[in-house]
Amino acid sequence: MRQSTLLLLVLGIAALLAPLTGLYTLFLLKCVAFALFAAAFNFFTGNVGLLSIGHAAFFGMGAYAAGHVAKEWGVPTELTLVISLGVGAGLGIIIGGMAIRRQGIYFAMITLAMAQMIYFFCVQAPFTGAEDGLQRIPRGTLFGTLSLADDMTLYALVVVVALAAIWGLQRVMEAPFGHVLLAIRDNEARAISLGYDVKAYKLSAFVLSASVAGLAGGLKAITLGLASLPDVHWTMSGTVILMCLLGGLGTSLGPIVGAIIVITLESKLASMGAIQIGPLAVDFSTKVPIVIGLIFMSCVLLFRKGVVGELISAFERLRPRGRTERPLVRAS
Amino acid sequence: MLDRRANLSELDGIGGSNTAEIILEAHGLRKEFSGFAAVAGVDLAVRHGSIHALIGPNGAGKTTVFNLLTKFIAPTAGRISFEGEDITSEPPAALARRGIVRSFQISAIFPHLSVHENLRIALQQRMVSPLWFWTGGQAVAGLQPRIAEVLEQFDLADLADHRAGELAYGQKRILELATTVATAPKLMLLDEPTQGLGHEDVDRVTALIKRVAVGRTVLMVEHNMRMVANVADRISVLRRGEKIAEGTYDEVSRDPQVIEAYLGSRARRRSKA
Ligand SMILES: Nc1ncnc2c1ncn2[C@@H]1O[C@H](COP(=O)(O)OP(=O)(O)OP(=O)(O)O)[C@@H](O)[C@H]1O
Ligand SMILES: [Mg+2]
Repeated sequence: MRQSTLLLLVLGIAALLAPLTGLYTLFLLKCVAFALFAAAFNFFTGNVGLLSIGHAAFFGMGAYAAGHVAKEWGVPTELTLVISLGVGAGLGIIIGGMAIRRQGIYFAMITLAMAQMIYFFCVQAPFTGAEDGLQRIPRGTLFGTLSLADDMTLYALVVVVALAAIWGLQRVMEAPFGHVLLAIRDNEARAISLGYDVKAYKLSAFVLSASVAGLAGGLKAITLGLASLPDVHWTMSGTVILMCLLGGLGTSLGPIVGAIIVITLESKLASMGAIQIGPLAVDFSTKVPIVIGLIFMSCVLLFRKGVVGELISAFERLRPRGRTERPLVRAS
Repeated sequence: MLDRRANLSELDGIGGSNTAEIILEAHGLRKEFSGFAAVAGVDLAVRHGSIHALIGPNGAGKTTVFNLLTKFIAPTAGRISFEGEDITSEPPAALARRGIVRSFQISAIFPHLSVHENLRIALQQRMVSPLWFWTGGQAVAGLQPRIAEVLEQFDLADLADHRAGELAYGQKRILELATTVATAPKLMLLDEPTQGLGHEDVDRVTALIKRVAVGRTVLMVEHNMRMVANVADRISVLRRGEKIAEGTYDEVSRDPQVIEAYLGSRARRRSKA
């Protein structure tokens, strides 16, 4: 079975079972939106090997765009999502076009700088609602008829959209295009000497990643009813990097697992309140960044490949060496 | 060498071009790295259908000449033309589409892809585009027979599913050659194809190069003199960025400057050790 089909199956079953666990639907919705964001980030950085520190720009602007058109213009939800996807794509072309010629740290710095410019634009621009952000964004209706007010209806829509996008990204990696990306990462000079326009391939991958990140922002705005400055802040780029590292950058399931872990942790810590440790009263709800930072460090020091990445290598160690099974790059 | 020439004249009829025709030409090629001239005004003319070797002591500027010819670095001065057209300001990827494909001194394989996938990447370049990311595998399925043929030709069929990075060193070099040949280039540039190989592998690669060179042009950097004497039609000798001699093996090996350059550098190396 193709990995994209397998991924779709596993995630589909998980999404079906999730509401049975009794977890809040809103919490699940948030997990799905961020899982998609992480998958989008991973599609570029995990496969091309260039670090983007600017993905918050796509996510945040996707959220603002969705919030604006849904709230001010009453656009139907399916169109709202298409618009956030388009905003991500447009920004991806601009930022990617400027950054893609650079290598390594220079690429990362340009994405960060551009994303910061967009952040400051959002602080100033009239339609973002400044500090308050866009609140009470309506969920709207699907195709002008089906109301999404019901949590489960919305959940179904969000899951279908997110799964389709995640499956699509995986499928692209299994297509000849994806093989070229892997080849470029493996030996860029050789790919050039074989005639590949590597910058165009990288840019194409970046724009795909930015589009899906924009879509994820749109989903987040619709589900939580909120688009605000933290969505475009550089720490959001940091969060998505952490999600991918924690789950396993470059694996297809890792970013999704990482996103769920981080979202769960954030919400658990936020609701924890003060805890007495010896003579100290520690209020974890205000210490989220510290805890996340510690996780980040242990991740880098102890399990570099992330949860899913380590599992895969443990599994690979168990089977006889020699023949390679790399379904990611096998089309048939 | 004689039978190779006989081969070539046979091919002339097919290719419709004559042996003395120049396929690649460089004029006054120069490259400075912060003031130091790694290549100091080299003229080079590679004849259509020949095997042309570029030799010289370590650091003579051979790889730099390759990088200049394939546009991986921009020349400080000089012009390059291919089939009579000026290619001095073309991007490197465009050269492959013209039919110039190179290998690398260090490595020209994709280590995480399988042998089969390495070949497919080499072959599918014309069939995919950065904008057709949705095009599925069936678009390149037609390459299968060609891939199988090349795998067979280079004795790699048994290794098709192995990850290229896990191959033995000699097999990696053969895979490099295979992927370079697979694209059916008009001009192949090989940077030290036998470097680091044991005797048997050198003979194997030499035989392969001789075989695949039929009907196309090869420019190669090579340190192994036995191999050069065996396959090259014409040899250019570089030293400290300058071309000091050019001709057949017999002509070049009698040149006093060449003898000096080689013995000199060998003597220096010995005194260092
Ligand atoms: N990017 C660079 N920056 C600075 N100096 C360089 C660079 N590339 C090459 N050189 C210098 O240019 C000279 C020629 O190098 P080059 O690699 O072309 O030699 P070579 O003939 O291929 O040697 P070898 O036989 O060892 O492969 C060397 O002195 C090298 O140090
Ligand atoms: Mg060299």
